[in-house]
Amino acid sequence: MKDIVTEVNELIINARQSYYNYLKEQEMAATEREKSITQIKALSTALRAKREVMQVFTKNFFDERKMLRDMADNALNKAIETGDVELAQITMELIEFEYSKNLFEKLNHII
Amino acid sequence: MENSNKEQKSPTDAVKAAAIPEVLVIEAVVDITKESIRCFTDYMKCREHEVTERHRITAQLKAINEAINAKKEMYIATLEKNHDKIKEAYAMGNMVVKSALETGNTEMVRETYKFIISMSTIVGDQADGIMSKFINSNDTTILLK
Repeated sequence: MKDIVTEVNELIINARQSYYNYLKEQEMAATEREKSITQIKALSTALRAKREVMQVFTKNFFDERKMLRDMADNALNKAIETGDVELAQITMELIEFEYSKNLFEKLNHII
Repeated sequence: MENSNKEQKSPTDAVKAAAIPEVLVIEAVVDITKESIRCFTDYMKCREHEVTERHRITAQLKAINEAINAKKEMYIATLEKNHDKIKEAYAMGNMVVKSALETGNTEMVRETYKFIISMSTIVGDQADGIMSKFINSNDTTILLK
């Protein structure tokens, strides 16, 4: 008779232990999930920030090119007007310098 | 006579004989209760720990976001400042080139272009450095621990 009681007792205790172990695992899994979600959120914030900085960099790069191009255009027009070969040559060298800068090459180098 | 008495045992007596002693049942109930309390306490400890850990993670995310955004603002401001510097230099160069073009001073134009190219290279390199530092910074690695 004692054996039956002990058996039933152990069965109930095992069931209880398993249940609480399951609950504990659930809690730990929830924490792991939270960690993964947080990591993704943080990475996405970092990525967004990097994109914004890159946008500013790109905008500045093209602004700079436009400024130089405008300056060179004026000089080139004047050179054509007056037939000044030397002025045309140095102005075209300036344009060449500006257009030899490749944004994607720069970005590749940076990244 | 005795034999006939034994044969006449009622079914209730048989059940009584097979019944589990109360002491055993009480002992079992006490065991189960003790174990249940232990398991529950253990689980509550674990739960508290995990809830605290989740709060810590959330707070850390907030801090990381703030840090990333602050850093971003700082880098954008530096890039803009850099750009303003080169804009000023170009405006100055443009003025000199205009005046040189009016007087037909090609040498002056050449020197101004040299200055502009030099400025563009220096400030461009600075901007590249700023960008590189920001792009390659990793503020999220702390979370991977």
